[in-house]
Amino acid sequence: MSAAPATPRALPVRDLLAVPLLGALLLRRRTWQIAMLVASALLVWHGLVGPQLAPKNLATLAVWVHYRGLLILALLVAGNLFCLACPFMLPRDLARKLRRPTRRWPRLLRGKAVGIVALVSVLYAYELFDLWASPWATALLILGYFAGATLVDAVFEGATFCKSICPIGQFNFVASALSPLEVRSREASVCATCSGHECLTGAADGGARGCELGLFVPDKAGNMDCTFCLDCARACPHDNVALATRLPGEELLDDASGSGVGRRSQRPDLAVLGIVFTFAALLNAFGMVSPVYALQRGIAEVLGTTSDAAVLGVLFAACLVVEPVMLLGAAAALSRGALTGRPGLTATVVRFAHGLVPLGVGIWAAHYGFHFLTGLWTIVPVTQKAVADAGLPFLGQPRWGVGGLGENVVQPIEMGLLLLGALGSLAVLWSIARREAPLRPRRAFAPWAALTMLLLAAAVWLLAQPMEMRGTFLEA
Amino acid sequence: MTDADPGSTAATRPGQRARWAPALAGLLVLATACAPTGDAGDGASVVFRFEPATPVVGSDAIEVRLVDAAGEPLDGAVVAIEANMNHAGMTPTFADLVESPSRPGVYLGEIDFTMGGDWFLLLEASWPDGRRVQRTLDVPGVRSR
Repeated sequence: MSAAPATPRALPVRDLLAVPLLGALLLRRRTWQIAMLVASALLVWHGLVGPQLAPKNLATLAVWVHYRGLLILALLVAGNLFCLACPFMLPRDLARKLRRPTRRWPRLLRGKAVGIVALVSVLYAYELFDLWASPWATALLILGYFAGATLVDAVFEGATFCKSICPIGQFNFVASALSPLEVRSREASVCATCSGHECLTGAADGGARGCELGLFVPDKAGNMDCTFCLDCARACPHDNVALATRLPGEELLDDASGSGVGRRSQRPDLAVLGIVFTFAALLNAFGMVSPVYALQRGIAEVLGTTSDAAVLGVLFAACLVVEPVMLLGAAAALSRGALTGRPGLTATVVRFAHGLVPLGVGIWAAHYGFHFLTGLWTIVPVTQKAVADAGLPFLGQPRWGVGGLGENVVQPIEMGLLLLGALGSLAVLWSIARREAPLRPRRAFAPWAALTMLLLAAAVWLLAQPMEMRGTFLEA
Repeated sequence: MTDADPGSTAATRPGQRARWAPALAGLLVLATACAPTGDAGDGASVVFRFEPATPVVGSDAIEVRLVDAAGEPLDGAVVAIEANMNHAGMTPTFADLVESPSRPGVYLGEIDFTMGGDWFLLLEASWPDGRRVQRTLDVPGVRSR
């Protein structure tokens, strides 16, 4: 492997694929996928036949506590590692060996619209059906992902499920904007002389496929739509693909046109995805504190209904549609006058919305980090019990009393993550304001900074509330 | 006071599965066919209540009454409770109950609820002759202080 990329940057750049052993391990995607497939099979098995008590079942514990915590941790310290190791692709790849898909995903559905609906649907189902409390439903959700990936990609070409539908993928694509790693070319000059474009089309001998998400490495800008699968690295005959370090959030600072993605300022769907990602972080945390129950009772009284689905639907619409429209609309209305060319409200929102993503990542990390850190060791006795139930008691008697870090330790970490996220958002929004309003950047920046501080205050308030982990259903 | 349904064995909400039925009927059949059945069938009834009636975060007094199918008190048992939150990843708390000297079959103790929300109790009563009663008892809506 050659040395680090030659692209001039302020920070020293390291290429992890060039690190002995680590690079080879990262390129062994199938190994990671098989490991995750085995883990998934265990979770599904225990979810369906194990004890139907969430804290005693590997499906609920591993998925809703450890997987989510590790997912956001990996995104923050490395990159989209869970897409790299995605087990859903194994049966999908097997199905494609039997039948090649021939259809193209309808043009109307390209972009992130379906993915946004899928992401919101999973979050809605999580609350409505108390997925966190139901091992068998969690197992069905895992099976649903396998089925969805296999069926969609059996019909449609490319990585349609990953790019346009997978809720986990959309979450990872947005959050990985804050990742310190990015797949990119090592030497731009090598790509300039390349005529095969194998990173996109696949190796000439058919041994390695090219990027199924349509990302051409030399023109790639950022982590959006990149699953870190490293198919491009395996296909490149010039060994010119790096997994390089970078400034987290770098891709949000400029408006470069990237292969397969285009310019962010021209992609309203990406802006909506980022907005939903950020406000859903607040909504998901809101679902775990006591004020949500009072609000739900109020909504139910106003609507004159006892339907959980209806009340939850109103809550989701209020938090993911009405609230963002009002807040971002106000910020855009106040800032657009300072922008070059005085764009419309929607265009202003599309340009600035990505600036809220770092705060959204901070809220998700604080929330998921709380569960992960406070429940860190609870996986041990549950695994001991599951293994013993399977007739293999070699792990010893379950130690049910173990937990994790104390709340007094975790809460400062939560607040630190929120503050880091807010600082990141302010930095990105300032960069956008300078780009879009070079003559009056402060005026363009101020409303968005105020919005960021408002959302930060809401997040701090939410996470400072005593938690009441209940279903968000109406009380009988 | 909160009196439990003697047949309560589920840590999920009553009717929760029914809400899935229209969309996932086929898979539901598969899942429920594989799921373990309740642990009732020993002829015993378990009734419990808290003081205060709606438990709050902290130490709450619990009273458990055990009776057999004929309504006679089941005395002389060693009764232990493991309290868990409905949400995975929370550390359980444990309590050993002591039989009331004046009320046979009634066992008293304290449960430490460390967080607001939905809890369930894993109760096990055992006798020297090997008899055993096990129940999973829902405690929804423990209030934050």
